[in-house]
Amino acid sequence: MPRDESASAIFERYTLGQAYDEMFEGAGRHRPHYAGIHERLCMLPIEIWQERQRAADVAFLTQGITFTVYGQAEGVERIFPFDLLPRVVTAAEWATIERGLVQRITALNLFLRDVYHEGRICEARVVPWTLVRQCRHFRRGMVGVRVAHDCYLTVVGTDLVRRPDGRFVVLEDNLRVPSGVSYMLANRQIVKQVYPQLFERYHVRPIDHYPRTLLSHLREIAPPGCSDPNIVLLTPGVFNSAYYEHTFLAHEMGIELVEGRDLLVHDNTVYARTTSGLERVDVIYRRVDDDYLDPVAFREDSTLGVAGLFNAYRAGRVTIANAVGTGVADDKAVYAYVPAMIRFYLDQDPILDNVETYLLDDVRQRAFVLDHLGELVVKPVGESGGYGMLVGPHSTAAQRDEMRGRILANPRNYIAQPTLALSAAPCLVDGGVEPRHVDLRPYILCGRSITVVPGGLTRVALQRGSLVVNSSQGGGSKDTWVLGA
Amino acid sequence: MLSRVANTLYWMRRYVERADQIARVVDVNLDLAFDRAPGDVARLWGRLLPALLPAPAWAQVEHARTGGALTDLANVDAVASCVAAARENARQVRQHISGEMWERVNGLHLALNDPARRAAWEERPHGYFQTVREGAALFDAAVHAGMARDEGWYFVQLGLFLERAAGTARLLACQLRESQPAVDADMALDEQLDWICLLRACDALELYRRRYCAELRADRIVRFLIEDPLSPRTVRYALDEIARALATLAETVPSQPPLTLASAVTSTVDASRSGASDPRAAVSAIEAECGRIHRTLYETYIDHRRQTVT
Repeated sequence: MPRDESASAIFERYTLGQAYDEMFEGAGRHRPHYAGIHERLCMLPIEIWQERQRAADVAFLTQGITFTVYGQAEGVERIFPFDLLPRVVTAAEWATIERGLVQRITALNLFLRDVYHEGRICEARVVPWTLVRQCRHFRRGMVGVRVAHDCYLTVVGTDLVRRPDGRFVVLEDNLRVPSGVSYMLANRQIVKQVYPQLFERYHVRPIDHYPRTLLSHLREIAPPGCSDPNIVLLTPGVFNSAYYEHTFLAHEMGIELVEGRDLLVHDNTVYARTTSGLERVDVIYRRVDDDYLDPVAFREDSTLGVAGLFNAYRAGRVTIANAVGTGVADDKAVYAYVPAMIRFYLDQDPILDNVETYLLDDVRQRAFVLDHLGELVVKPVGESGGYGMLVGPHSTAAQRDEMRGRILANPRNYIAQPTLALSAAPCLVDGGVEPRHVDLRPYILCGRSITVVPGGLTRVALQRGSLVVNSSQGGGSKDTWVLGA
Repeated sequence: MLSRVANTLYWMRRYVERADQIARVVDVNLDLAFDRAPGDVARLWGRLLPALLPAPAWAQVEHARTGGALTDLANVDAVASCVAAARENARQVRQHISGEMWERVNGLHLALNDPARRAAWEERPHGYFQTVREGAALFDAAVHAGMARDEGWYFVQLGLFLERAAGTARLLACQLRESQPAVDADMALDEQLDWICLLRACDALELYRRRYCAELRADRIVRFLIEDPLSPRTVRYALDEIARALATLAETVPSQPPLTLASAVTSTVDASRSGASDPRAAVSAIEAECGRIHRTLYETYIDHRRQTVT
């Protein structure tokens, strides 16, 4: 593709499509903020890059930075595929993202407080009550419960994608137990280790304060009157696909990593079993879904939870972060109403737009979607991790028929969106550089204030032309550089 | 410290020690097999395998006794599965161990599962066991360099020395099943090889020679392996370390009733010094005591479910 004769053969297979290209603004013309990386790519032979890439893969493996893939007979431990070329975000782009995320999370937190208390937004007919009450993740038991400092959302990982015109839009809010932040931190560490020279011409904003910031926000939301809270991280255990991340975060924060069987509740107080007896627990950063938290309150077959935990929580004796019931606000049908929430609670226009979304319990929208299944993306409303979705243009007739049947059986359970041309970023593939589609998941931390960590996880759809970036579906990741002003 | 974490640290160290021990025993016996008559080799493995491997694995390698196929993969798997278990335990307590410790045990695990290396095992078993022994030594170095001497350290020490005491006792029991230690030095060559094997399997041949010179006397070897307080591979040394760890734990975790070594064992070990006691009885007393400490440790620090909230 390069018309620029000086460009190296490394770009031979690089083609520009309809999507926004993160590195090139036109054939052979790189964007100014990619100059340093572009120059280095042209300068060094591909073998050097491949060797550094291999060094990075080995580093992931020896450090045990792996995740488990389900679906096979037994979980297989893999490294998360990593691409060495960083994705660069300019200071100006980031400023917009940051303001937009703070605005959005503020509104979502107010929404959660509202739907579990007065329900003003439903009374004002901005969001239909039925939609909220039908959410699988709406927790009746949370109605009227006072959440410490009204902070429902402590950790959020919002998925952004870049449209062909270069604007970032929000694809999903992950408000329950978002994961992936350890990869954001590990990716940076590994690029620093295997290719420090890449940083030479850049001022990249640091991200490694993430665990400390999370810890201080967790302290802020301890139960009232608790001055030196005992904070723990609750993991489902070693078989969870994100187990590495749980150990990593507990280690970095210097807090205990506990499993359900390490805890017990007595008189509405939560204790950990230690070698010297029982020790009180005040704040639980949980990486366990609501459903599995407490076999008494939720799924009784759960062996991951702690009996009586939900009652202790409702009595205000322990803080759980994120709060129980936040899934109601990241339901993909409720998502369609987030811009309206921002207007309702904050009286502002949204800074980051939503992706256009069709709600399938509306007769007219459903008819349109069923006629255009081949062009749209259909997602179940309560799932995450890319499970159960249909990407129209890449689907077979049989898959579309199956989806049609599922939509008609339970329209409320699905939404549809146009197939987005996600932006593409250069990746090292098979002895050359090729564009691959990427998204961006920044992490937002909240306590009494909101911190947006300057960076995020850039996920890559490693298959040529694929739009699915989820790690469970063969996606990989890159380091994400947010440049200083 | 969480009870589960203490338990996991304990088992992590036990499994590394066990892998090291199996690797050493198999390696030493393969090495000395070249100096033996063919029939004697089969006898040797028949005696050793029950001490090394759980019963099902033993059945699998049964044919090795007659076929002379000493390089049976089951031995490799016994080692590799101990390392895998150690690594799995380490993975669950990564925040309580150093990064170096993790990388050593994970690296050893990856190396043993590398298909190229498994193939090389047929060619050169010694290299394979060398990998295990070096890996275990590097892990041990990382433990010493990187772990705070807090509660966790003592659970690691208990894992190491309980496994070592039990392992040495197990090997001694195997040896004593066939030959009663004779007081005089007249031993057949094969018998001498058996005792050398035992010393080397306990990594104690050099220590023994320094203490007594190279003359092999069965009664001395048994006494040395049980009672020498200065050689780090003996039962006595391991028991002293265990007693020290238990005493410190009792101070660190004062709400628990202190757990100590049974005085019976200390006196058994001491009694063997006089040469009067029956070495087989001493060995079974040691094995029983290792089991008791393990159980009491578990009841005292790990599984105290009956404790009420105060």
